[in-house]
Amino acid sequence: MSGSLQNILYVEDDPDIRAVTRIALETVGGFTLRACSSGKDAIEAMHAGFPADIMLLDVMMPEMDGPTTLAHLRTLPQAERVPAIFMTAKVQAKEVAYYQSIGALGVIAKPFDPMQLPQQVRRLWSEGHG
Amino acid sequence: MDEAGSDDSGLRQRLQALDALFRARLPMRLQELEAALAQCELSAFRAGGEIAVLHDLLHRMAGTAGTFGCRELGTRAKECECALDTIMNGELRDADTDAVTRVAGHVRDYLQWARRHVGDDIIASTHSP
Repeated sequence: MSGSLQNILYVEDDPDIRAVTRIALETVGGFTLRACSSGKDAIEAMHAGFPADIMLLDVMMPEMDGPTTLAHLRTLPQAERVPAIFMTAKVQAKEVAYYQSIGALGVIAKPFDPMQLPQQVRRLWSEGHG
Repeated sequence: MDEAGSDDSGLRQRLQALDALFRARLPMRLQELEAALAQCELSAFRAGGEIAVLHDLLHRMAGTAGTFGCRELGTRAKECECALDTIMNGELRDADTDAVTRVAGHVRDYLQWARRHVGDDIIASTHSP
């Protein structure tokens, strides 16, 4: 993990949620966001050198879901140790346990409050550094 | 959503614009759900691909509606998604036709409720001042 949190790689196939998350993380949170519409886009962004400090991934996406995307990202040296958070409406205990078992730092439940999202990301990132 | 203070009216306006866009697309989303439900009913909920489409649409509604201030719309969609899970996970067998009918009715009731309330306060945004 890097020592500060600035650059966020974000993967979400729903354009409405992508738009509100962009406002939340860039305007409210002051982060630099690389928003991707698919797992393939996210892999390409990291491959192209986006210096992500953290990765936020939707779980249910067509073609390549969040866990599969994370598995592919982990094969890239530049993403191997970047903490990952899943954003999902599937947050039953067994589902959260599964996300953690595949290496997620934590989970942010959907629906989410855009005004609170930056704090949620910072808190999880800090916990990962604790 | 929380009050963000008087110095961020621009931010509030941008969020309200996204809320409005979401609400404008709601009739289309509900139409897609109705079409997916009809396809499932045609196959008596035995076609996995059709069920997956309906499940995906409900999941999207469950995950997005609350973020745009339509919390009940999302909560009810989540209930339908969970009901559909029982079919997708194979918890219901062929003999459970009554149960399948109940799940279909649950989704149909949700869509009727949503149709009745599009434009109502229930659908209205919490970004509003």
